[in-house]
Amino acid sequence: MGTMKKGILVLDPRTKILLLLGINIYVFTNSYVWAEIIVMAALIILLLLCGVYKAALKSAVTYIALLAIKYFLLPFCPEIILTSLNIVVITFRKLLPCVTLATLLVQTTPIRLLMHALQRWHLPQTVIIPLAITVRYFPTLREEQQAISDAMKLRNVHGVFQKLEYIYVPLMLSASTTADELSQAITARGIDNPRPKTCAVSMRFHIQDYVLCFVAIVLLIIAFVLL
Amino acid sequence: MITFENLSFSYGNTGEEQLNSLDLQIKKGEFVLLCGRSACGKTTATKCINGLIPHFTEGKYSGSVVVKGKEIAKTPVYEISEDVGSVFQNPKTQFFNLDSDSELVFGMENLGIEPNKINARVQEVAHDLMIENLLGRSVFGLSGGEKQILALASIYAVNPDIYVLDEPTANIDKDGIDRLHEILLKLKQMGKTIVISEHRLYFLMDLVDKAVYIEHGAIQKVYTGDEFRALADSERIRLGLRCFKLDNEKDEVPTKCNSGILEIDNLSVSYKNRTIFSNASFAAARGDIIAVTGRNGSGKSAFLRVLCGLMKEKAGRIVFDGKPYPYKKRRELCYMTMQDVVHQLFSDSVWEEFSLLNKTVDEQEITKILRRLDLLDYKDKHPMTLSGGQKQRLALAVATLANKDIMIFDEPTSGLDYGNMIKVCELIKELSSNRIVFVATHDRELMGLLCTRRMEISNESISVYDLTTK
Repeated sequence: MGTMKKGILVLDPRTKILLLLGINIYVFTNSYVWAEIIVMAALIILLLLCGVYKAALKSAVTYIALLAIKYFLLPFCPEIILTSLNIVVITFRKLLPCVTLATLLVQTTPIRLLMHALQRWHLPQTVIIPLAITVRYFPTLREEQQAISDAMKLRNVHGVFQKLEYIYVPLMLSASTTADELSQAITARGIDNPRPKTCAVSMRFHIQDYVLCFVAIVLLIIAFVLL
Repeated sequence: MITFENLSFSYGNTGEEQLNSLDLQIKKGEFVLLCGRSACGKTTATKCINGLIPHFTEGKYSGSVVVKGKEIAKTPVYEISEDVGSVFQNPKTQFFNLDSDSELVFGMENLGIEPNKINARVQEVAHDLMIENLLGRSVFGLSGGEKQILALASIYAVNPDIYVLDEPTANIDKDGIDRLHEILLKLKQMGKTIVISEHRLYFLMDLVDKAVYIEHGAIQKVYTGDEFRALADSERIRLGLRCFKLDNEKDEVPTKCNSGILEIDNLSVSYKNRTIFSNASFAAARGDIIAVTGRNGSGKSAFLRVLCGLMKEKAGRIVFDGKPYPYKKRRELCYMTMQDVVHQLFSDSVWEEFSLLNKTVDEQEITKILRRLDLLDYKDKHPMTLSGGQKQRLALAVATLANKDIMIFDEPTSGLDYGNMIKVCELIKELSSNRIVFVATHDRELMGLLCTRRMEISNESISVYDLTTK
């Protein structure tokens, strides 16, 4: 009940959160490109196993493109472009594993299971509830962005700068009502009930969870001890 | 069951009283309708029952509301939620979860009910309300009507004694309304207490035990169900209430309509690889007001987006005045007022909004339209500070001055009372004199009052009817 099973592998939300932490700390502290490539390749295989094909493909293509720019294009660039572009390319490459894993987390975990996971770790409600509302807001944001972009086309708003200038008011208008209505709806459903919540799905660690958590911990150890 | 005693409430520090010394008794098992003009305080009254006022929305609160012996102001919302379930107006923002199963169990999990009981209850709910088809779905794949039914079902799962609904039909089609009626009837037969605030009245007339008419935040009159049903039409219109039954529906004659300044020529539209319709041809002349209808999710918005050049057609042509208009060029021809008007307001003041039109407009014209729509006093205000109705009127004003040959309105009357609906109708009629107007709507009362033709999208094709008064 309530799981979003897509691929052949189903992970516990806690595993995904731990992995998110482990991989990111590792990627940011590690400076060996080959190690990064291995982690990224493993990540993409994981996404494929979990059935998140589109995001897997997107991440793979972006990663390869960023690598190609760094090693095949930049060496031939003049100095000025090299320094500025280098920073951009490396920042994006370092952020990519984080985005990839976050996509996996959001697309395969119902928000309430994410909340349950955080509750098991005894995080306070005052942290969990706003966090959950934030995560919930993203898909709505995408819908709203689409509507606003339509409205701009009808009003003949052209060009990136004009669009950035005018997106501010409608986004603020809709975000404030949406966030307000969402919070009202969940408040009325008793989300801040202090009684311990139950979970209709059994949340248990399986072999795959133990293996991946082990991987995450190993990566953390490497990041903090060896590097 | 529910007792309002001398309850007054005003939002923030504006000082305007939103509810003014309300006294009301609601007995167990009663079906109570809260009605009145837009912004009369109906919604505020529902929030005083489910505890969002004063716990969530702050303001000046005095008097008391007692529900099942508990004083609302002194009871936390989660405790109230065990007795009072709420359905809200906007189906988009009342789900916390993105899959239907999670939404059904969400309330029960918050109460800490044992997992095996939860799962049994979900099966029971699905069976009782006949919503097996809604299980295991993504919330984004549900139509507006299905979303409201799911919202009601998620509350039914927790089994409260009191149901509070705030304009649940604002965005849903005929089938959705019929299903909602069925479920409300069932709840009433189970002896549940139901409080509903609504503009569309025809579908719930048979259920009403008590109708409370609210004006400027005060109760003007409390009718029994029979008194309310016996109200004369003239009295109903004086009170600003929408129709009690749909008797202004027009006769429909299928029509070919093959001549006119706008020609739709073998048009095919698809959205995300799904065919909406193919090879549709019809024509329209200036002065036509065409209702665009079809069930929730039938592809009305896809058609409108193609028509005004926001999306590319799959095949076919759109010709105006003898000239074919390819996709992006149609934006010069059409203007659309969207259902959610907040997406269409871009400037930091009402007056500035008009500077973003493709051409410059005369200041006198702006003044004229603002005066007509009661917005002139607000011309320097930020759109953020306007009320919902004012934002809607501002969007209409912008559309009017955009002055395009084809005007499109997407659900222009959702959430409007009778008086405001008539105002919108008059404005659209006036606009239509030298233009072609398309109105996408589920509102059959509006269709009867306003439209001259109706096109329906169903089964991947378009049928067009002429509407004539019986």
